[in-house]
Amino acid sequence: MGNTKGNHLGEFEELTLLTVGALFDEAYGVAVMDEIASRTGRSVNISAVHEVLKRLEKKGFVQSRMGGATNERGGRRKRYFTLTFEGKTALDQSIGLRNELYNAIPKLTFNFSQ
Amino acid sequence: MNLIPPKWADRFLRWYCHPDLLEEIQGDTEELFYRRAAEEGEKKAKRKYIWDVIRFFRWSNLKKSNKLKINSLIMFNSYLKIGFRNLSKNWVISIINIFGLALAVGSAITVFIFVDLQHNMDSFHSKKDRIYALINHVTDENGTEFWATNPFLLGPDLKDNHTIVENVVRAKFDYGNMRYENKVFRETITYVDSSIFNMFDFQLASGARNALSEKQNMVISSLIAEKYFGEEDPIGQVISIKFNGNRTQSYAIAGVLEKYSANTSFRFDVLVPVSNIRELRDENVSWDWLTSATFVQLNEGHSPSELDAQMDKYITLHNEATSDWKIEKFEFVPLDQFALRSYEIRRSIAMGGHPAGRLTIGIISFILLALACFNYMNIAVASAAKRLKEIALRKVMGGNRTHIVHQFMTENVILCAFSMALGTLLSYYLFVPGFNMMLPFAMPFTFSSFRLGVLFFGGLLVVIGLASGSYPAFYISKFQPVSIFKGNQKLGGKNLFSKVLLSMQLILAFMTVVACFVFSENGRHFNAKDWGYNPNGLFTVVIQNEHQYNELSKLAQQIPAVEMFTASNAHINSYDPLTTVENLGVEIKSNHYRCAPNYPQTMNLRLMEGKYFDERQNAEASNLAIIDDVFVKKMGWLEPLNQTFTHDSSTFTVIGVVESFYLYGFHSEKTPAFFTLTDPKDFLYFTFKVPEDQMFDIDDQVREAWFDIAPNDPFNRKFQMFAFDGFYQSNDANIALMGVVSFFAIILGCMGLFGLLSFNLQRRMKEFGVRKVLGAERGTLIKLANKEYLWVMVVSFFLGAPLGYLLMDKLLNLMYQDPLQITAIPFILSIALMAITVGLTVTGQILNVTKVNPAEILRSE
Repeated sequence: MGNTKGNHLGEFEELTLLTVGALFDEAYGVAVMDEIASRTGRSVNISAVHEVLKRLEKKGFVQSRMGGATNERGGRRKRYFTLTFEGKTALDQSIGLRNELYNAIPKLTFNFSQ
Repeated sequence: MNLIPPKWADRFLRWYCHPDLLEEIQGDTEELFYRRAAEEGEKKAKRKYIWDVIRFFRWSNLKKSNKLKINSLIMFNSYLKIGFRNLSKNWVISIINIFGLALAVGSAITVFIFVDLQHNMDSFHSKKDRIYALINHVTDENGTEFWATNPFLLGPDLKDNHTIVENVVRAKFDYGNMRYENKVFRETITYVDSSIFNMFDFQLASGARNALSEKQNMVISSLIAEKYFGEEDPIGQVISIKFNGNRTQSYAIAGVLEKYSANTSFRFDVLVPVSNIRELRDENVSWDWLTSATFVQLNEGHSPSELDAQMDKYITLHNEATSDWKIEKFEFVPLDQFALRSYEIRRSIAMGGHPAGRLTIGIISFILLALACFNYMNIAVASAAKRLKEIALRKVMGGNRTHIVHQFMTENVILCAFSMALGTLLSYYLFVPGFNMMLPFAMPFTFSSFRLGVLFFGGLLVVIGLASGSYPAFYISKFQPVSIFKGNQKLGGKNLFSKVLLSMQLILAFMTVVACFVFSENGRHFNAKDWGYNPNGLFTVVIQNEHQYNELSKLAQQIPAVEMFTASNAHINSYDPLTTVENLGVEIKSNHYRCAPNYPQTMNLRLMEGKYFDERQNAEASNLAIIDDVFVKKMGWLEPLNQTFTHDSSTFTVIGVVESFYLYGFHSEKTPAFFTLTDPKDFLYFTFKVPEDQMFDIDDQVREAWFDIAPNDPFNRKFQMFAFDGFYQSNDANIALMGVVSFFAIILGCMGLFGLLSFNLQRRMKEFGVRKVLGAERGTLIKLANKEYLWVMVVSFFLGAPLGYLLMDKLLNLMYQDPLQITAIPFILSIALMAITVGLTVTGQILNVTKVNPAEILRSE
């Protein structure tokens, strides 16, 4: 369970990881970028997405395989990413932690803001 | 449809990208490209594709060659360590190398800063691309000259009648006695158009930038502010200026300029609005009236060539108004060229050195750098003789040639880095301050831009590193381990290349030494050279009016030591007005001195023909003239006496010829001169002739009396003998510079020789040991060891000395009129000097050899 520093999920990493999970079997660089752009409105450079995916794979949260050749993109294959068990656990943990903290906020706080 | 991503970007991606990652990255970027091309257009897609490729250029995506693997890092550590060990083991040699390179680097930095500064003069004016200095071309019998003086009326007309001209600023220099409370000094006053601060970016320390739009306002430089007001605030203070002709005006100080930065080529002390000039001058302003400088600022996007056709009418206007100066054409000099060209523009207000000076110091620093690099190369190759076994062992253990090259290059880079650091320190603490002592201004230790500084230092490191390191590295790495271990590998002294290098070093050393001797001999020649008259014992007081002339005459008669006294309107080496004279269609330019009858003989001018003016003659004899022999030569007269010439529609008859004289120094050739008589009311200079040893005493007496004669005017006095001081100072500075340079060259040459020799002798120790055992005398050994270097020296002398001679001959003829004919003395001196220094270096080493016990040499190893 112990979240070592090396396995810590950064904000953008978490977002990417979620996107990979959501795209399920269709998660490759451009698709992830598009999904992030359409869901959050954040325009990120493709190189940043690649970088994060590479990092997540190194941490073991995602795994990748090369897809088959297509006629698109000069016949070059895509690298597809899928969520691993560790990745799913890390997401659960981070979302659990958030919920826990969110629930711990006293109702009082909301009254203040009114 | 041939819509494809930019090829070069794709090639770049393929070049840097790790092969494992290439496919997916290429795929994704290309997919995005086609999508964007369809959605946003081809251009945008291409731009974004390039951006993506650049963004992918990250450490984690890079192709990593074997060289960057971990074990090459370890090897690099080992290279560093061995490099340091080697440098500290041969510390004498290392110091020679480092110090030599540091000297060269230091001088290169200094020279670069200097040249950089010269080429960035006035670059701080933000509108510099649109500002032009107007000059004109005048052709006479000496060819075309460029003049900075332009018709006074030209500026406003240009501004009013041409839409592309945004602004015109004229500057006209004048002198005046400036007074604040009890402080009176003579200052250079400049009349300028009030828009000067719109055109130029001179910063004001206090006051408003439109200060000069009020007619009675003035702006002063920080130096003037300090001189008159010290700590006081000068703003609002009233200063009175007394101009020539006894007219006084008062101005309120409305602005003080900041200290001028070093790259300000034209500077002003006191600025007053140009509108005052008409009130001060009687003359009706006509088209032959000239300014000291005219600057033109064009509207954005216009070129001065658009004005060319319209300048003709100004030429006509000017040439019709004057009989003297016929302007041939006007030229607009871009502001950034103004200071660089000021050496060839007469009366230019910008400071700027002669390009020959920059070229010379550039060549010199290049020579020093080359010397230092040769030094390093030679010693590195020679020292490899000691390291052959190390090289062989490395190769046997599996090191390939690249590794050996790395080892040697690493050592070289360490050495270069040390030298760069030391050289920078030398330049900062020694060379730049030393150089500044010779310059008329202080040069800061900065580059014009940070980028340039980085480029220069980086470039220097690469060039020195490659130039000095690559030959040894590649040469040594070539050796075969087998032949090394067998002892067949020959190296060092027998090597032709190292001899060539050594001769190059010595050639350069000879060249600079000969050049130095030629130069300094020439300098000494100038120190003793005749000016054309004897200036000793003459001193001159600037006077304002006839009253002062009469009072000083009375005073001069009372002091018994005064041998003679005279007065004049113009004065040799103080005010030398150039005019045009004409005889039978021959027009020449000549200086014109209007003076009292006894002026020529009082000034010690030597009569060659005819007679001086009669002392009783007065201005009624104003049609008589005394001329000098250059005047005669230019006119082409064989019998100059009683010839006539016209000047300003008067005709003069020649009654005497005096020897011609130099003005301000020996840089420029003698100018024709003629003397005519004038009234005391015109006198501006009062000259005393006194015995040389009493000159300063009498000067004190005159000074004391002056404050009674003219309490409102400063005591402005010049000793004639100091007239060439500017010339002599720069002459001495040049000699000092040459001395320092040739000293460096000798040091570098000898250090190289010393290093090389000590290695070669060590290599031949056994040979000497055997010879000694077999009964060789010490003299034989010395001869033997010296023989090969003697030849190198002789060859170097015969190549280097003539080169140095040629170089200096060109330079001297460029810089001076009538330099000394080069004699054999510099050559004899330089060969003697080099022989002594080289001899000492060699003998010191060889004595070591001959003293050693042969048994020890032969036993060791």
